[in-house]
Amino acid sequence: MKIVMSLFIAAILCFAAAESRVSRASIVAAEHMIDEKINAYSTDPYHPLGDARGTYLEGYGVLFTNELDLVNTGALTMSPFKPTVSKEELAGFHERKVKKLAELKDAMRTMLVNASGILEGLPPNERVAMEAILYSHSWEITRDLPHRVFMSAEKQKLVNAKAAHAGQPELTAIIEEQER
Amino acid sequence: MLSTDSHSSCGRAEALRDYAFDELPAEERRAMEQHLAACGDCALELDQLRLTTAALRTLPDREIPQRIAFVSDRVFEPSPFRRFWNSGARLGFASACVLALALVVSAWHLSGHYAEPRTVVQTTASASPDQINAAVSKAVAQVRAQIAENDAQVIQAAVQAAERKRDAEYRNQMVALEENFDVLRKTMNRDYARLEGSELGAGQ
Repeated sequence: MKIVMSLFIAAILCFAAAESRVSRASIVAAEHMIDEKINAYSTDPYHPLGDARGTYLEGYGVLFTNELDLVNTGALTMSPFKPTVSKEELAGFHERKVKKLAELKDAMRTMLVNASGILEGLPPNERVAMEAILYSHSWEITRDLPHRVFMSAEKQKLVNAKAAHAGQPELTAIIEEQER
Repeated sequence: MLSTDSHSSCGRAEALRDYAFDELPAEERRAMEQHLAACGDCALELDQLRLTTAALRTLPDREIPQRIAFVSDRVFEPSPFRRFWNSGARLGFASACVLALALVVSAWHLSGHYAEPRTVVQTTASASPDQINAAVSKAVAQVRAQIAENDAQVIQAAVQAAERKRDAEYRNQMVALEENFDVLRKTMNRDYARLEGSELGAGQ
């Protein structure tokens, strides 16, 4: 009988370990928060190319990915009716994108802090990460514009920063950033 | 030059001069010496003569100029060229020189700037007009063929360049179109997903 009970307890512990610590509901809530932030009203809005997608990686943390164009190309998009883009349009377009890239980085830091408060099941020592995949057309000027921006930080540091109402300089100090 | 005027009242000026230059005979010399001892004027005159002689001897000896000539000599006669130059023909000669120089300069200028390309056609004295015409026709035909060939090459190069440019533009347009479709597809997928999510939410 003792043997049977031991096997039963061991099986329960195994299933408990296999089950995600972070609930799907909390990840979806964080995804919505990110989408709302990306789609927030602006005079020069981003062009989202998909909703944010969150995944929990056991032992690492939660990773959110999102694909977007920094600016809506709109009328600048080449087409059979507009086969060329002038140099002035390209330069202005590039200038807008560089400016929006800085804004996106600030927004990503803020979203990481907010997500840390939503992901309740995530252990404090695991990380909250976010990767923005930046779309660009082949005819664009891509100088100083990365294709991907990745940010991550330990959840506990983000929670502490949120409690302290940390500003961008403090967030920059605790969040690891990579561009490629 | 020694003065011949005598200040002596004795009338022996000439003899006194000869005495001063040691040209008197010995007897007259002695007589003159006795006279000089008694006559103060003559002694004074002798002193002046000797002083003048001594002053002249202090001057350096100089050669007599060799090229002394008179105006009437032939040396001073003008040369034929100078006679011509000083004559009335000088103005005419100068005018002729200026005119000749102008002609030479204008001829050089015309030959240098307005020379037409020349084609030298060598013919023999034995060539008939028909042969000449045939040769000219052949040359003209060769030139026309060469021009036509050059034109064809230029046109072909221009056409190829235009085709390359058109192909590049076409490729760029196709790439841009594909990118636009890609963006459109992603945007529509996102919208469909949201729509589906909202319908599911409404159903629940």
